[in-house]
Amino acid sequence: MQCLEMPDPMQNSVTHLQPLKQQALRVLLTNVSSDSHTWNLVFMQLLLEFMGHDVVNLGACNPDELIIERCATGDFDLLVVSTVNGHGNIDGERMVRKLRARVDLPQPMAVIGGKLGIHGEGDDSHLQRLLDAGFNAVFNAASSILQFESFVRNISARPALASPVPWTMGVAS
Amino acid sequence: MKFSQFVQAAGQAGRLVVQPRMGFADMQTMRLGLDAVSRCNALAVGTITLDSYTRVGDHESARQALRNGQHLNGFPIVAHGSAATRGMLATPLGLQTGEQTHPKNSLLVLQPGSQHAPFSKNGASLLVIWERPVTPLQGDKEMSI
Repeated sequence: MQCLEMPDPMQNSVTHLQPLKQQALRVLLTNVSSDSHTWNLVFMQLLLEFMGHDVVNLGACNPDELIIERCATGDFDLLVVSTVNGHGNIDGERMVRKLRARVDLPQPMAVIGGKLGIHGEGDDSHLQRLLDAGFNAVFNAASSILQFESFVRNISARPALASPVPWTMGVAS
Repeated sequence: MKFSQFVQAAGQAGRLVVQPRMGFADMQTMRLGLDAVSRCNALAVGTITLDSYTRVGDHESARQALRNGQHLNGFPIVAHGSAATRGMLATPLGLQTGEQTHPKNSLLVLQPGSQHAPFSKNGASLLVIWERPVTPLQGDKEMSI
């Protein structure tokens, strides 16, 4: 179970973060350009909606430019990149560098998680690199979903609509 | 022999055909994987599973990953190119082609020119191991190896 997170999302190098909200977060959910998996997106959408947030699920295999274009609308507080094909560390880094380079655009908080490389959960070599590239938090491995939930709660202070989430008890130990 | 015929013959012989899904970015590892399949104690079909960049036609990203030594989730057959891929498969895998009535070999080798059915629905995510790969991916001339 591995997770890296900026100590304080408001104090990191990204200077265009949207104000954190007490209401539902507006979440843009996507996979990376080369990953055609969708089950993970369905799972993440359900999780976030159970937690009381609004999700736009952009789907799989989205070009970087499409993701950035949607972020540029300013309609989203949080970009969630969920990826499981093992290329997330490459595609995610490239995409978020492009996003953060557009300082003229609204910059939502951005996180990435899932199976980020091809060497399994024990490989944490991508985490810091992805943070350095511009993600506010990186969640590696399936069990880190708990950290993701904590992260979302911390930035939203939104009471969950359904609590506890059904699978929480099963993986908490 | 077509893949379907191989599976049918195996079924008639009461054998189960297994297909290890496997693909690696670099030639050496890919070849080692195929060798391992050819030696395994099973009636197996070797495969080259393509990486995600190749599947979506993003060959430049695949080439860039190879240049940077990044790990891919499969074999970038277009980025490697036909000559290199042929070279990887040039040395026999130490098995026979499926010419017998009953499959006794550990790996099926489709002959050049065979019009086999693709394993997966989109025909691109999995490729059979041939003695000489001949199947072009639709719409991509680079794949004609």
